[in-house]
Amino acid sequence: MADSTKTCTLEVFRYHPEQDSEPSLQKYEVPFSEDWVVLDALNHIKGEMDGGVTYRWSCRMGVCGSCGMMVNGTPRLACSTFLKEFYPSPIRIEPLGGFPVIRDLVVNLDDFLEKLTRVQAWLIPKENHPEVNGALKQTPAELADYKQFSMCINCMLCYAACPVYAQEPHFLGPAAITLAHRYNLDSRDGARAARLDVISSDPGVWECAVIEECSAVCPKGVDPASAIKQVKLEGATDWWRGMLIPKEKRGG
Amino acid sequence: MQIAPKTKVKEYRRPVPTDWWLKKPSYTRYMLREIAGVLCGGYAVVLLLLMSQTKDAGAFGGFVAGLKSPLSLLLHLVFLAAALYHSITYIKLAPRVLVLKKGEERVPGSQIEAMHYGGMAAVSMVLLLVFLLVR
Repeated sequence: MADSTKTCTLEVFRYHPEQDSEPSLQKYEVPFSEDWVVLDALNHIKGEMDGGVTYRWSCRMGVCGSCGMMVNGTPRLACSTFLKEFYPSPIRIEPLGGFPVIRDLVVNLDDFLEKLTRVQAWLIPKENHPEVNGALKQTPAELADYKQFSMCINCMLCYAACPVYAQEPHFLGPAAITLAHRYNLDSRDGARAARLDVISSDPGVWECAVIEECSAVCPKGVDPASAIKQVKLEGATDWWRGMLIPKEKRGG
Repeated sequence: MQIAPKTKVKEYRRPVPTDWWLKKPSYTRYMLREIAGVLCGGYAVVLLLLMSQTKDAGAFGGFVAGLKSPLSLLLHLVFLAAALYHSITYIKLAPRVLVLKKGEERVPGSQIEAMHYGGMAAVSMVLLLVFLLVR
């Protein structure tokens, strides 16, 4: 329950494409509660104060990855960021950095979705992988090889934290590369070469400047920076193999 | 059922400020690391210049005397700090890049770091030995 005697100031980024040429910050005074997260405060604003405020959210428990936004300049999930972390200071809420803003806190995700498709972030089974009762099985050790990278929830906080993506939007970005790497590490998958061609190319891993803020903000501990560096090593090793060993003598 | 075409809205792109690298400590650390790399490259140029003087004993002596000046010694300290910063941040990354396995278990990061520091110490010792032998 919110304590009606205490209030907290939220400065919310507002942008209405039909009316505004520039965005502005609008202040709202919301009730403060120890157990309220930023999403609770936004829902309070929308329900009780200003129905026009627009933002995305869904699961409310850090799983769906919909409610990513900049909280005091850092990409966070609104459903996992408590007001008490900032109280009594005002909290500035802005849309995820690096993406074009459609309206208020809603950003255009088309670029990310196109990149996910380009890197083929799904399982493309090996032709000869053994099936057991119709299932492609693997050992716990084979699962451990990629499990960390499979925890990505596509929340895009990593993109919002990446200054390279903000300045070079053609960069494939942390999550798309990490998810491609996740499938490349999967013992059941057979499309490593095709994915590596894309993620080890110019808009891929070589754009990464190793700033590592993507890993710092990841709410699931995926560590996309390490995935990118592993792909760099893999790409460089493949390049040297290609230079030193004739194609017909190369395996895999 | 026919799907309505997407409406094109006027999107807003936020500009990236020129001082973006001062906005977060991690961004600033990145910039320092890049500058450290430039300084390491600069020192390589100093060494190349030194080598280019080896055929002329007089010029070589003059160059070496210049390297002993207080300003040069101060610059050497800056180069050393840059090289150490670059090496330490590089080695710190190594465990997250190298996936080494002992059986089914991943080799702990601390061991990979230790291997890198050991390698760096070994190479430094070899270089020092070569220097002492040719002196």
